Amino acid sequence: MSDSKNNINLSNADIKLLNRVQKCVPLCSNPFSVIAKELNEDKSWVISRLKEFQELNVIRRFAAVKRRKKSSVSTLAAFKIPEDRINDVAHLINSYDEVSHNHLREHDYNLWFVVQDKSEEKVHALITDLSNHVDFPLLNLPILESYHSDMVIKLDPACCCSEDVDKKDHSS
Amino acid sequence: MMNINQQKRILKALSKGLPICEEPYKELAESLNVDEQQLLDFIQELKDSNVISRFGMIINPESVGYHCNALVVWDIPDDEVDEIGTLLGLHEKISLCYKRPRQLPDWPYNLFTMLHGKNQQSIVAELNHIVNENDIGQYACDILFSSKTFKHSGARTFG
Repeated sequence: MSDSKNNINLSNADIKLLNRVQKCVPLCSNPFSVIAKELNEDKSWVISRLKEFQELNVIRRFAAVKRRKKSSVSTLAAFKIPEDRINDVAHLINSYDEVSHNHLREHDYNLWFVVQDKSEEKVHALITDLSNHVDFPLLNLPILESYHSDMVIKLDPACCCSEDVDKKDHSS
Repeated sequence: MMNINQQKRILKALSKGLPICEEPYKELAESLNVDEQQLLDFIQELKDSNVISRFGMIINPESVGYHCNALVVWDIPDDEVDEIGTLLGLHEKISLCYKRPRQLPDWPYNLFTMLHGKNQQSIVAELNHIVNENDIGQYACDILFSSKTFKHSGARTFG
């Protein structure tokens, strides 16, 4: 997963641009001219830089983010797994298509995964199936209330520069 | 007026992605055989009716060095969780904020937030900042850093 050596160094202008276009893209014929004006940059720089970012996979998509549909149900679940069993269980969990995320985390409950399906019954059935196969403690934590759900990543100048700059100071 | 099938088709195209170019809406509208203004009005409608939560660029945090993510969980009294959840949900550095059930005695936490950063230290610094700024130091919280990703796929859509 880690590709730290391929990280792209961002200038302050890049960071401003990425933070701006994450927020929204204006709904008008020439949205990038509007953004260029706001940021006091050249329109052709804005467009070509964004294109580059897309080629480098810094930008995944320019798209509409749909609100979670009522027709889809999800839960966050976690197992408490001994170290030597983590890989087996992680692979078993991954084998379900309905699992969208699966992370090892630093905690007694160490394997955290998200299950999404069309109905509560289906999600429940998958969790039950897993707990029948895996004899370790399991937490099942469905969403009761959503206060915010959108992966906008606010970038900081201090966090996006080269490694040595990064090591010097995080307090700013 | 667009019919329901047209609307579905356009919504699908909008979630798949638009081209980055001088006139992205015109280009997409042409490929969908609709009028540019019609498309713009439709997107505005989708925003107004909350079908879409955001219309913009989706970035890949790993590509810019944000390799670390932390699930930060809180034990908030039941009668305060809506207020604190709303507050934290508004914070620009928190990408997800949900109420989930406690599972006592093993799991006392009922508010779940997600933070991203370049490394653990920067996330801890950010968290301290959030705690001080919002004056929420009295609540128990725990940080669960991700140490390995076994799976990470985009949100699936159904129906």
